[in-house]
Amino acid sequence: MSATARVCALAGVIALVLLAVGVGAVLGEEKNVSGTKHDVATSGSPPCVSCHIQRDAEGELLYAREPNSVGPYSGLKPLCFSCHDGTVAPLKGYVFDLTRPDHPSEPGARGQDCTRCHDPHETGEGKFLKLPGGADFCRNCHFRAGPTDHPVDIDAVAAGMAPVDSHWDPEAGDFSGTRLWNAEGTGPGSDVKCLTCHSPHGGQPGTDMNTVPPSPLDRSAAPLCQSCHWPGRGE
Amino acid sequence: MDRLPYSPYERQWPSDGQPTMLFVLAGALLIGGGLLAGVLFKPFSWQGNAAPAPSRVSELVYPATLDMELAQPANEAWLLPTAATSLGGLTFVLDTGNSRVLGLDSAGTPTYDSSAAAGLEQPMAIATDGSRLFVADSLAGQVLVLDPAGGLETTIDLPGAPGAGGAARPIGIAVAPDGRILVSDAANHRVLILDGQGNLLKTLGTGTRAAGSEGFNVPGALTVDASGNFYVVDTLNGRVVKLSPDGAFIRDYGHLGGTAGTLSRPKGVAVDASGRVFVSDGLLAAVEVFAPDGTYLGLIGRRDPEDPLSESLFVAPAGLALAGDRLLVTDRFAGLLAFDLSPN
Repeated sequence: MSATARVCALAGVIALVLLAVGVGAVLGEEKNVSGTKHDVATSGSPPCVSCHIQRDAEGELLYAREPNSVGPYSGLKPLCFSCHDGTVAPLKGYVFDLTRPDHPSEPGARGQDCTRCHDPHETGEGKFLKLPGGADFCRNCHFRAGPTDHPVDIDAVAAGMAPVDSHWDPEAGDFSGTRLWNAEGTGPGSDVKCLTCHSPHGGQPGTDMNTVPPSPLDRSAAPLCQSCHWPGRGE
Repeated sequence: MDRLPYSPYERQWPSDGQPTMLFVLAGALLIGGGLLAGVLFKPFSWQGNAAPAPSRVSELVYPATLDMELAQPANEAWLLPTAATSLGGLTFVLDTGNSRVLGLDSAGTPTYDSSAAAGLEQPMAIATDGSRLFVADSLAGQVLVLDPAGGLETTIDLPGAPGAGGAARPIGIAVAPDGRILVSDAANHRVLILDGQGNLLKTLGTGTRAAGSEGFNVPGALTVDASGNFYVVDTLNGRVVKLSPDGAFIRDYGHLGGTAGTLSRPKGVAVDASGRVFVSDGLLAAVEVFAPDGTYLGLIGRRDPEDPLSESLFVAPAGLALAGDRLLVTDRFAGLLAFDLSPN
C-alpha cells in the first residue's frame, strides 16, 4: 500500500466515523423532539421539517437565509415567533414584547439568540432550557465571571427579609413582582434566587430586567430593594 | 456560612474540555486527507458539477403599490397587532398584546377602544358581516360579537373537543355570505361552522394534526369568497385549503417550503373578487399571490420589488383584509401597511 493510499484510507475511515457521529447526532435530535411540545408534525411524519423547512431543489428563493437580517427581531427569533405568536402556541410572558427588556442576545449569531438559554430539542431541564438551575439558571453564565453583587440562596423568611411589595403572589405564574423560591428554584418557597428580582423575559422597562418598576422620581431601583430592605426593618 | 457558594450550578458548558481537541484533530486530518486526495485524483470537475444558482431577479412580482405605513396609531400604542378589518369608515385593528380592539379613523387616530365594552384575554382574529364585528378570543375560547357602535352584543362560548383538555382556542374567524360563522380551533385542529346564533352546525377536520383532504395542522386565519367558499390557513402544513360552502375539500394553495410559490408559516389570507388568493407568510416576510387554479402569481412586500431577496417591507406579516383594490396587511411588529392593487 503506497503512502498516498494509506493517507486516503485514513481520511476515509475518519470521514466515516464523523459521518456516523453526525447521523447519530441528527437521529438523537429527532428522538429528542418526538413526543415533546415541539413535535408538531402530523402523525408518522418526521418532526424535523416543521422548523427545518426543506427547500425545493429548484425555484426562486424568497430569502437567502432568513428574514429581518438586522434588528431586535432578527436571527432565530422569527422562526421561534412563527409559532409562539398566539397561533401554534399562545403568547406568554412578554417573550416577544419588544417594549420590555429581554435578556441581551445577539440575533443572528449562532447560539446567541433564543438559543442562548433554550434548545428547541428536549433537554430534560424543563422549558427547553439548555442547563439546569431553576430560578438560579442565570448562574450558569454569570458566575463564570465572578460572584454577582447580591447574595442568593438565602432564606429570606428566616432572615426576616421577605418581600412586602404589593405585587407579591407566591402562587401566581406572573412575571411581575418579587418572588421567593424553594431551594431547587422550581416553585414557591422562601429563598432569594436570581429570578426573585430579575425576569429574563418581560422585565420592567428601563431596568436591568427587574421585576419591580424603578422609582418614578430618580429612576433608581430603590423600590425593588425596598421590597425586602425597607426602612425600620433592621437593615 | 459553610454552604458552598456556587454549587451545583457552576459547571462547564457541554462543549468545553478535551473532546473539542479530539474533534479539532479529527477535523484537521479529514480536511488534510480530503485536500490531498482531491489534488491527487481530481475525482470530479468542480465547475461542471456546480448547481445552477437560483435566479435572484424575480419575474413574478405582483403589482402592488405601498400607499400607507402606520407603525403606531396617533396618541396610542398597540402591541403585537394581529389583524384588521374595515367597517363604517373605521379600520378596526386587533391590538392583541393589549387585549383590545382599536377603531382608527382615516387619519390613523383611534376613536374607539373596546376595553370599556368587552374584556378580552388574547384576541387573535377579527371579521365583520358588514354591520357587526366578530372577535375570536383565543384563550377565552369565545367569539364576541360587537354591535356597530362597538358595544358587546353577545358572547358565544365555543364547544370544546371531546375528552379532557379539549377546550377550543379560536385563532381564525370569518362570516359567510349566508350569515354562518366560521371559527378555526388551533388547539383541536378543527374548523367549526356555527349558525348566526352561535349554534354548532358542523365540525371540519379530524380533531388531531392531519394533512391532505382530511384535516389541518393548526388551522389559522379564515376567509370567504363571493361564492361562499371557505379558505383556511393550514399553518403547519404550509398551505391554504379551499373548501366548498358545505365544507368539502376543493384544493389547496402552496406547500411547505422556502421558495416562490411555497409557504413557510402562512398567517393571513384574503381572496379578491376574481378568486385570487393572497397569503401572508410570517417567515418569508411576504405576501404571496395565487391564481384561483393554484398558479403562483408573484409576491408583494419587498423594498426592491424586482428582487425577492431584498429587504422586506414587513417584519412579521399576519392578518390580511381586502377592500376593493386595497390590501391591508397587519404586521405584528411593523403595524399596518396598505397596498393599492389597481392596475396603473
